[in-house]
Amino acid sequence: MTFRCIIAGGGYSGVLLSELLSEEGFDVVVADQYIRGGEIGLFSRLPVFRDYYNEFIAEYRDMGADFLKAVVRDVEGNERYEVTLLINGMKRREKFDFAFICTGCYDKNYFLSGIYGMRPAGIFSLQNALELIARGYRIGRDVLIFGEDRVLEVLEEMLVKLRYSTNLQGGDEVIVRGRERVESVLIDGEEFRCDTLIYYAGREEFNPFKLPGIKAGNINAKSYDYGNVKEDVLRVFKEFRKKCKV
Amino acid sequence: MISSNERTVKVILLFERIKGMVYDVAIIGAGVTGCFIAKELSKYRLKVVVLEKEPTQGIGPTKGCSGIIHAFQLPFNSLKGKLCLEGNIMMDKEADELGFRFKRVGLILVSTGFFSSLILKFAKLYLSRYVEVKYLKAERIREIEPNISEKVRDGLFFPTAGVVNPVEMTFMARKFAEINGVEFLFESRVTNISREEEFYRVEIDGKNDVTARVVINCAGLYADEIANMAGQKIRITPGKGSHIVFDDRDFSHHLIAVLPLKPDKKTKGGGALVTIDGNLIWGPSLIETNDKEDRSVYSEEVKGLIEKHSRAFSRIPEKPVAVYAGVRAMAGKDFIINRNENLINVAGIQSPGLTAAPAIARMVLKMLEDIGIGLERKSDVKKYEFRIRKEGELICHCRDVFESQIRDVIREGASTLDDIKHLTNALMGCGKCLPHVMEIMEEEGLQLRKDFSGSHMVWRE
Repeated sequence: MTFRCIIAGGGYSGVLLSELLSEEGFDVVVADQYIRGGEIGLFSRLPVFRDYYNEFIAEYRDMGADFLKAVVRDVEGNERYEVTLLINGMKRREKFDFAFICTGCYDKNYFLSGIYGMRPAGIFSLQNALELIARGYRIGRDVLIFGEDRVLEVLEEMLVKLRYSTNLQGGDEVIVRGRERVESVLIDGEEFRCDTLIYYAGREEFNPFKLPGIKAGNINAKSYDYGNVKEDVLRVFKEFRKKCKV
Repeated sequence: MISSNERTVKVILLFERIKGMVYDVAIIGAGVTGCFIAKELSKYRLKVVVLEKEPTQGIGPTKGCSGIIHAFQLPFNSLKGKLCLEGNIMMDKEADELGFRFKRVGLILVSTGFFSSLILKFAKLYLSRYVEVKYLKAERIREIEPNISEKVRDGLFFPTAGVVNPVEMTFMARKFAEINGVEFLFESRVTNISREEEFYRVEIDGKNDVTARVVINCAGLYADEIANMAGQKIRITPGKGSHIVFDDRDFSHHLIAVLPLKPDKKTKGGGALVTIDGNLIWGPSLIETNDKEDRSVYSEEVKGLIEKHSRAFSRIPEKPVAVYAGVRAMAGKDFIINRNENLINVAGIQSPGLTAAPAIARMVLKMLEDIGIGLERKSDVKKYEFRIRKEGELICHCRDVFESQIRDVIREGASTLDDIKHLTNALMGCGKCLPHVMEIMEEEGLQLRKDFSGSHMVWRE
């Protein structure tokens, strides 16, 4: 008897997990709103990021999975899962033996990132800044990057390459000044002129439908370090396999 | 002897009147007050124009308020006290007529000590003459609000207090007015007002003119500048109010405020509120500022709000999703609604302005009658239907917003990111859908602006 698995989310974690489960003989479906891509897809569309995440991009490209263009809207049950899928706005229910949640994470909001003061245009989370640049927008001219993480150095390098002027600063609290557009920011009392602020202060689990199931990948790792993401998927898979054998 | 200049003016006026270019009424400001007056006037055979300096409606104090429909406002004999009671009663019918959501969730005013409990009982006697109020014992309060603090002794329940989405309410009033013939000119800043014969000539952006028989000044924070242009004096002082929003839907379901014993600037006003969509809003505070555009929020303010309102609860809500501040337009303690020749000032509309909006509109209508503007009711007043489809790609997973919803609100007149956000609830969760929403805005031909005229977010290469 083959067990049917559904994986919510077709990013790096979902596809890697699908590959691992398929090798074990499971029948796996990966559901994602946008056939392929996820965050690794986003990185592959950005200079510098493309090189920095090269290993994961290549790995993702070489892996296969049985994709379903759908949003996993609901997961019910314990023994066997009744899964509600949203396909082109239509709901469909299907039964699966196992449900895995690989929906990733999102950057903490401005408030939890310590951004205070005014809220004019020109304030972006790291994730939104990357997505906008990948979609071909220019997000400003003088960019202040706020936070402390290796990925922000990658961001700075990319922005320089794209002819932005940049300044990377860490600290506890930012106070934004400006009415219509960012004019300057105060970081722990020191003022920096800029027209754009990109902030990053960690990530949070992205699971808006509160889907129950086995969580794997960046939903647990909450990171821009895909080494951690990969490690989490492998860990979850090992534990799952152990349980199945028992 | 008539100068040639005066003669030219006369000729222009005559020409404009023949062409039908003279407006009966020009409303300055498309906040909730201006839009409700416009909506009321659109039911009559009048030529009405609304002039708004920003790209969309309700961008000033309207957007920054808490969305509360107050049960009452002290003192009862003040203008705002009267208009609040009147507006509260009118609200169900208004919501039905215009199609905005309104929910009477009720206000619970709680006491946390022996003396405040005593005051509460006296307050009930006094308030019950004006407004529906019930006394609640602590056990009953805990039954309906399980997270309420052990310290709460008893409370008063005002069932007529409610909540709306202020942006939606204002937008629907604008749309009702628009389909019934009112013209809205956005990004049209009034730069001068002059009286010529029995008309006002209202200058826009220093170049174009609008001619109107009556001017209604609903300019909110800038009502002083508008009055000044017409040679009148009003003093507007800005009063900032900060809020914190939590996405903790089961935390509380009523508007909850702790009875202050000695209200001062720091402890006055605000409460642990809920929104029409089930989020929590704690606030607003009242912070003095000299700057009419000061919508800043600082960490001490947020700490202060949490400290103040958590007194009523046994825990602090989870998942803070946003902080924001609005700026009240205050002209002393009360509203100023007066007429000077054919200029009507509707100024100082601070809290409870949202509640009072329909009553203010009614009052202004009476003032127009006094002026002698013929008010002939239309026989074919149209009802606006806000048709929003839930189709296509799911854009905002946190609030279940579909692509068609965003396209529909844009086609109905939403013109900025904040408009879309407040009318669809997209971006109200994790915020990850921002680039997608912006791409749809671009496809629909909108400028990629946050809210104000100069608030461009991104550019194309």
